[in-house]
Amino acid sequence: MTFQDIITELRIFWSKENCIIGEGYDIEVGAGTMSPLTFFGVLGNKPYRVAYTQPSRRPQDGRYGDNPNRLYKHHQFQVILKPPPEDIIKIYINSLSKLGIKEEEHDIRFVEDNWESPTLGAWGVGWEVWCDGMEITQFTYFQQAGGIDLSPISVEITYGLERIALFLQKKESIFEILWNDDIKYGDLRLNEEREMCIYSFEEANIEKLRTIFDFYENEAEVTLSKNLILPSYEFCLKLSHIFNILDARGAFGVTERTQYITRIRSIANRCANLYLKEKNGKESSD
Amino acid sequence: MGKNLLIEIGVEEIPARFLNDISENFKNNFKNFLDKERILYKKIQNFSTPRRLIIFVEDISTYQENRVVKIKGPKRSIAFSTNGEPTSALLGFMDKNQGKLEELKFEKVGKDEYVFIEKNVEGKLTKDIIEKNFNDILFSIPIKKPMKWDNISFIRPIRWILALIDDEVLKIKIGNIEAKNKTSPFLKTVKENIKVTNANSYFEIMEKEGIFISFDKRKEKIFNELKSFEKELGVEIDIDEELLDELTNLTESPLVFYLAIPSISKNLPTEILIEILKKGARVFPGIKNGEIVYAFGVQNGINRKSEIVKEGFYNIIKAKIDDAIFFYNKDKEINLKDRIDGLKKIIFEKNLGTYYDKTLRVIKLLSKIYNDIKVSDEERIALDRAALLSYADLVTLIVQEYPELHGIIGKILSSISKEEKIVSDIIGEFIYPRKRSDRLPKDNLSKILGIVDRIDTLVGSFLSKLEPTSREDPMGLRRISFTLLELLISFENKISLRNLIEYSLNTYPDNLKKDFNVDNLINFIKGRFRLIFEENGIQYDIINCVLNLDDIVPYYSFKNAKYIKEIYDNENFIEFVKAYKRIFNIVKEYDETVEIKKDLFIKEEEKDLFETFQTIYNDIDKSKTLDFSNFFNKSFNLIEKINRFFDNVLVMDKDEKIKNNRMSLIKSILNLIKNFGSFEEIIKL
Repeated sequence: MTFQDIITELRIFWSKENCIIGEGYDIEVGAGTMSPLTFFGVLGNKPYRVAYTQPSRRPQDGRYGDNPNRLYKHHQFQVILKPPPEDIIKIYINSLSKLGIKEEEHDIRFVEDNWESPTLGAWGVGWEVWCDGMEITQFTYFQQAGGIDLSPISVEITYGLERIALFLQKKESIFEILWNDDIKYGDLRLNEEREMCIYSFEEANIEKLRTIFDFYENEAEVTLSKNLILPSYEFCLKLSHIFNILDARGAFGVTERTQYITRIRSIANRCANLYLKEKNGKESSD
Repeated sequence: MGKNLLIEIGVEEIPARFLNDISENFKNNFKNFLDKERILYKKIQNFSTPRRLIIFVEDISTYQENRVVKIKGPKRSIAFSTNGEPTSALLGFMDKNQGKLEELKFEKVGKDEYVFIEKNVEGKLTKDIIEKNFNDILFSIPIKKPMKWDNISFIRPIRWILALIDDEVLKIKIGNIEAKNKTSPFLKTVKENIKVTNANSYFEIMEKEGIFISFDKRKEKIFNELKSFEKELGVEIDIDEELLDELTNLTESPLVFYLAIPSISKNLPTEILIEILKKGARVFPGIKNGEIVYAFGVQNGINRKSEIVKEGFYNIIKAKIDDAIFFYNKDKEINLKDRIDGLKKIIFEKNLGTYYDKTLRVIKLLSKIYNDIKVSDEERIALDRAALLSYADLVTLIVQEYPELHGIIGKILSSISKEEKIVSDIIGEFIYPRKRSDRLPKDNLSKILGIVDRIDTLVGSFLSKLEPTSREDPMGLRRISFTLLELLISFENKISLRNLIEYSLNTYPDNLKKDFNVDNLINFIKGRFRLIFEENGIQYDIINCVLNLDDIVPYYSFKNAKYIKEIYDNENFIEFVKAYKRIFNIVKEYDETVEIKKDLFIKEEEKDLFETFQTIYNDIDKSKTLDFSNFFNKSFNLIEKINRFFDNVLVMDKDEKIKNNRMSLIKSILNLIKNFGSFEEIIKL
C-alpha cells in the first residue's frame, strides 16, 4: 500500500464514520492538534467529528535527511470524535485492518502515554498504540484545551503516516517509502528536509526571529481586542513555529523558554475563551 | 455449598504502572464493604489484566447477617410522669418504632438516663446491597492520574461489566453501561462477546481464550519461558525486574519470543545498547560471551504467530539503534568539558536553579567536607574535576533520549575527551545506587561525590518545601535518602549527618533558609534509616538506642546496632545497661556540669571512678572511633567502678560543691557513653 493509498483509505474509512473530511491547515504547525479544526472543534458541547491529514513541522527532529527515521516535517492523519463512541477502540482497530493490519495477525497494544501541550494549554491521557512493537498512533482522550475543561471530552486519534508506511512497506528508511507506484518519499521530500534543516539550524536569523515573534504577538493583541478569533489564533500558530525554530537552535535560557511558552499560551487561552463566548452567545440566540 | 460472586469490570487498557494498586484497592474496598455489611463469605480474591479488574468471592451468603439495633428514646425523667406512668413522649416514641413497653431498656448516656428499645433487623439480600453500593465501592478506589468521560472519573473508560452471583446477573450500571453475563474475548474485533452463564465457568472461559487473569501467573509464565530460553540458547538474560513487571501488565496473554540483534549494534557501547533494548523497545537483552546477541520480547496473544511480531520488533530495535548511533556520534564530537555551559539551560528544580547551579554547589560542598575525610591532594583534584563534569552529559542527545544513561554516558564521553581514568570512573560510578539495594559505587571517591550530590538535593528540596507527602514525592526524596544511607553505611569515614547538612546549607542563599529546621530533615532521613534497620532484623529498642541521638554517624549507627543485637543477651551487656541506667536516672535532668576537681573527691570509690573514666576517655578520644564494640570491651572496669561508686558514695551530699562535683563526674560518663547510643532505650531488664 503506497503512502497516498494509506491516506485515501483513512479518508474513506473516517468519512463513513461521519467525519468531516478536512484538509491540512495552511500555516506551519507542530501537530495536527494545532489545526483550528481540532483546537476549536473540541470546545463546546455540540457533537463534532473531523478527520484530515496534517503536515507537521518539528525543527528539533530535523536531521538533514541523514537519519532514516527522523524528519523535520512529517505527516499526521488526525481524527477527532466528540463525544467518543463507546466502541472507539474497535472502530480504530477496524481502521487499521483497512490498511492491512489485522488484529488476528499483529500484536496491537495500548501503552500508557499521556499528552500535554503547554503552549496550547491542553492535555489529555491515553496511549501510544504499538503494532508489533512499533508506535503507529497516538490515542488521547482530551481533557483540557485552551485552559478550558472539556465537556464532553473528545478522543484524538493521530496516525503517524510515515511509521505506518514503513511498517506496511517493510522499508528501513522513510525516504524509501513509495509515495505512489512510481515516486519515492525521498524523491519528493529529501531535498526539502535538507534545505529546511540548513535554514533552521544554520541560517535562521535568531535576532530577527525574536523581533518577528514580538511583532506577531503584538498583532495578536490587536486582533484579540477586535474579537477576531481566527486571525488571533493564526498568530498564535506562527508564534509557536518561531518558538520551535528558536528552541531547536538552543536560543533560549531556561527561564526565558518558560516565558515564551507562557506568552503563546496566553493568546491560545484567550482565543479559546473568546470562541466559547461567541459560540454560546449564538447558541442561546438560535 | 454457597453461591459464588464474580465481577469483571472491562476497562480500556489500564496503565501498567497503576494496575496492581488499583486491583488491590478494588479488593480491599470490596472486602471492607462485605465486612461492614455483615455479609459472610469464605474467600475473596482479586485478579487483573490490562483490560479487566476482577473480584471473585467464594461461598458468599445470600443474606446479610441479622443484627440488633438500639434505638434511643427520650430521657427517663421525661418518659415517665412523677407517678410512674408513661408520658405521651414515651408512647409516641414506642408507637413510631413499634416497640413494646415490657421490652424497654434504660441506659445512662452522659449524666442522664435514657430509654432504649432493641430491635432485630433482618439481613437484606446480599445481591440488593451490592447493587446499591457497587458504584461507591468502585469509585472510591484512589486513582493517581484519572480521566473524565461522560461525567465519570476513573483511570480509563469502563466499557463492559460482567457481574454474576452464580447465574444471576446483578443490576449494576455505570454511566450507560449495564452489567450483563458477557465478557470481551481476547481479540477485540474478531469475535462477539462471550456469554458467561455461571460465575464458576468464568475461569474456564478465560483459559480457553488464552487469557491469564492472574498477575502472578503471567509473571511466572514469562519468567519461566525466559529461563528455558537461557538454557536452550546458552545465553544469560538480563531479566530486569521492573521491565518484567511492566510487560506482565502490558499483556493478558503473554508469550516470549526472541530475535537476533542487528549487527550494526556493534557500533554502540554495551551500556547504551542495554538501555535501548530495555527502555526503548521493552525487550530483555540476552548476553553470550559478554556480548549482546539476542533480544527477548513478550508478545500479547499466545496463539499469535511470533514470526510476524518478531519482524516488527526487529525493525523497531534496528531503528532505535540507528538513531542512537546518530546521537552517539554527534555527542562524541564535543568534549564533555565544553558542555558545562549547556547546563545553564537545564532546570534542576524551579527554586533551586539549573544543573549548572547544582554543579557549583556540589563543588563548594566538596571543599567543605574535605576537612572531615581523608583524601590525598591528587584525589581531591580528581573529585573536583569529576564533580564539575558530573552532569555535563545531560546536555547530550543520547541522554536526552534515554535519561537513565546519565553517568554512563558521562563516563564514556569523559574518557573519549581524554579525562583521567580516575575522573571518568567517578563520573560513571557516583550515580549508584540508583534505587534501593542497587549496587554500590566501586570506590570511595565515587561514594563521596554520591553522598555530596544527594545531600545537596535533600537540603535544597527541604529548603524549597518539597518534602514528600503521603501522596507525592516529586523529587524522589525517599529514594534519595535510602540510597544516601546505603552510601553512608558503607562509608568508613566518620562523617556526621548534621555536619553534612550544615555544610550543605552554607551553599544556599540565606533567603531560602528562613523557616528551615534541620531537625525535620534529620528526622526524615532517620525515618528511612528505621526501615533499613527493620529489614535487617534489628528490634526497635536497639534502633531507638542508636538513632535517638542529636547527631548520628550512619556508618557507626549501623555497625553498633548490629553489634548490640549480637551481645543483647550477654551478661556483660546487661550489667553495662544496668549501670548506665543508674547514671541516667540520676543525671538525666542535670545540666549544670562544673569542672571536675580532684581535691573535692572524698571517697576512694569516686577517685577511682574518675581515674578509670579518664583513662578510657583519653583512649576513646585518641582513637576517634565511635565503634561501640571497641568501647564496650574496654568498659568492664568502668562498669565495676560505677557500681562500687553507687554502692558506697552518696551523690547528694549536703555540700553543694561536693554534690556538683559528683554529679558532673557521672554526667561526663553519661556523655561519653551517649556518643555510642541512648542506652536508656534498651527495654531489656
